[in-house]
Amino acid sequence: MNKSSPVYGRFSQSRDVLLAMVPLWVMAVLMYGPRPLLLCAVAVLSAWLFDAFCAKLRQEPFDFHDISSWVSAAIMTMFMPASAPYWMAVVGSFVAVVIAKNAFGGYGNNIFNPAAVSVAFLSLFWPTVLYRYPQPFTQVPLILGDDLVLTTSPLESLKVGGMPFLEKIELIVGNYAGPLCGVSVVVVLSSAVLLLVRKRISWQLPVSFLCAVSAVAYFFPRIHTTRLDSLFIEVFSGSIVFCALFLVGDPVTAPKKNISKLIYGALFGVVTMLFRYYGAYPMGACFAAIAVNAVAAFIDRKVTLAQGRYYQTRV
Amino acid sequence: MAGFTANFLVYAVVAIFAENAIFSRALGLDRALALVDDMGNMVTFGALTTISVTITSVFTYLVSFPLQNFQNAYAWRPFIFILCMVGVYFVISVVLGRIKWAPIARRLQKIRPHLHLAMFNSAVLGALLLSSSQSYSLLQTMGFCLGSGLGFTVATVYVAEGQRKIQNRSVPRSFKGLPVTLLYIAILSLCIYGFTGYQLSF
Amino acid sequence: MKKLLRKMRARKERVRQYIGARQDKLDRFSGLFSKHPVLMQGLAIAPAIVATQSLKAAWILSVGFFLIVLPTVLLVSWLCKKLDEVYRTIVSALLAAVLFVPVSILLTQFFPFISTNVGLYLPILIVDSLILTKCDLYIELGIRGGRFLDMLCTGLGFTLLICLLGALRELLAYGTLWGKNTGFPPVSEAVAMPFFGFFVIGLAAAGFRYCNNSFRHWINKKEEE
Repeated sequence: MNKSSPVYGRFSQSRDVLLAMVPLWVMAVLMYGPRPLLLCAVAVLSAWLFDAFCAKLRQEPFDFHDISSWVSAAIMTMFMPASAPYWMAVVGSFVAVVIAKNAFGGYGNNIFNPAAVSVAFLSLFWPTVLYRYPQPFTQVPLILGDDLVLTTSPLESLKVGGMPFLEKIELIVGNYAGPLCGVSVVVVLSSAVLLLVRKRISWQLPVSFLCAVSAVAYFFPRIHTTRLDSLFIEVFSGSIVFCALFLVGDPVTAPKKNISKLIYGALFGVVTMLFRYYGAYPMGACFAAIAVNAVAAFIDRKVTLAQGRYYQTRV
Repeated sequence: MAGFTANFLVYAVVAIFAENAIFSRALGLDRALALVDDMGNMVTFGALTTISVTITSVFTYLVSFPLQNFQNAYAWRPFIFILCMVGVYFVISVVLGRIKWAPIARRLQKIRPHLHLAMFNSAVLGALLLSSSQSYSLLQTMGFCLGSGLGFTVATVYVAEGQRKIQNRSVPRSFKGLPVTLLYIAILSLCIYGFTGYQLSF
Repeated sequence: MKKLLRKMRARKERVRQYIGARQDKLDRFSGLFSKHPVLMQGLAIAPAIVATQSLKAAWILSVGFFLIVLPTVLLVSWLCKKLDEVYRTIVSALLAAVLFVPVSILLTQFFPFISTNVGLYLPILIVDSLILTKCDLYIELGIRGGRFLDMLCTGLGFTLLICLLGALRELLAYGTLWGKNTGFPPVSEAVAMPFFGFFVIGLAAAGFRYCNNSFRHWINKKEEE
């Protein structure tokens, strides 16, 4: 693609994020068969078409190199189970691309992370479909039948105050029924390396988020176990590490200043744990994303003001 | 004493977050949308609404007793509550007029023109009717109404913050103004329902 | 085929010129279109968002609007012209609350579970900003003759929107219409939640504005050229 093109910036950003997700998709296919890939393809295609449709409504030319909608669709699909119906991917893409992104002015103008909004929407509409998962390493058929056994994730056990019956090693390798992004932490961390090396996310965001989540899990455990075990289970069960990179690290919705990023990441972590502990649904990160995205600019403004006053007093 | 305070605070906190006036029930939304461009005005309006609803809740609690077993309570309650609101409005207006201390008097001069809109507001009447229909005790009623007013203020600040961001962006022409603000509130409402997960009574 | 297309284009142009010449007459019915209370002005928005969970609830609200809000606006704008804004607010709230009593008792005869159907969203019409906005508009602009028609159109616009919304939401959430099973498979009960009301009204408002702007642009096309 031509580097002088106006969409080159978002094309290269989206390309790098999608490349970072490739190891996750490989793991998902190994665990559940080709269905997750087809689900992602349906989501991506529908997101792209909705983006083109919105550009037509705005009477603007749509550059088919604008693959920013692919990122939202891919992240949204990662939060779904492998057994999610295809229509859910289409509905989610509509909410992400048309409502959360284009209604607010398109790429770079969205206030809320589109993937988070669509997952939150789907959670409220179809919680029994979104929060029931097939067992790992089972071939999920491309057309679902009635014989597929679906169970809840470890987060559901934590919600009711129980301990998930899983070894620590199983949590680390992602060998539990969970969303597509609940794969091996080692694989997710490889994505982190790619994103940080290519400077597509700032390290302050995922680090502060993970520190806040760990602190809340350590000092305020919700299960009767040692603090270290609570920290381990909360961080490695579910999608916390994936969220740290792909939700918290979203450069469009995150603040711009470094100190703001630290505050924002920490706030994101605390609110995620609040939703996990007291919210109605096992996954809290998407709802926390909405609540915290709304105050990102406020944090930036206050930090700029505080820095201005500090430099004035020094002078 | 601790039990009373806890009772009061629990209902206040629930009314601010889980049962937020704007995000969960759309109460006071029309007034909030009219003031959405001015953050200072919104905070003032929210503060006035909070004071109005908390003071009026005491009187509406007292007048609710005779209505409890009345057959047409649903029909008469709003009229009696409006009478209470009128009475409390005049009392607050007189009290604010009597304050002579210069720093506060100057601020009150700016605030007083908005007092009637803050009092006769769907957020106020809604909170009073809700607390009466749920048969709360006096402390619970006051806590719920105070929380409702504070929740309304917090929600209007959130909406004003959103407006500040939305105005700087290239929103499509058909979405400019009311539609994009409603979508913004819709997404925040999604977040609140992610917390409660159930349909609130109304 | 070409002849037919030419005929249709000519007819369309005649319709455009006819409507364009009578725009001021069309503006009398603006409550249904360019000054729709909910979609264009953001008035009476709380009942439209939350209480349109069923067609029955929407119908109760519409009847309430015509029997409470319409008479209040007409009476206050006629009798309270000289009153200060503050006293006008108080008088309109009291008058609407007085009208609410017989209307509510009447509606309870037909809908015994009115408090479950609409809850506090029928009484909320008493203090809705639509009453004050319309009164201020009529008094400041000195409108006398067209008040009743304007309020009628506003009421009709409100009724059409909330009845359509109520029917849609009841069908999608519960698969029923007016409480009767239609056999339509419900999509999700979340459709009945307020956040969906915000979404639908937001999207409907955007769509309505788009249609309004396109219509105005089409009517005034030749004059601009």
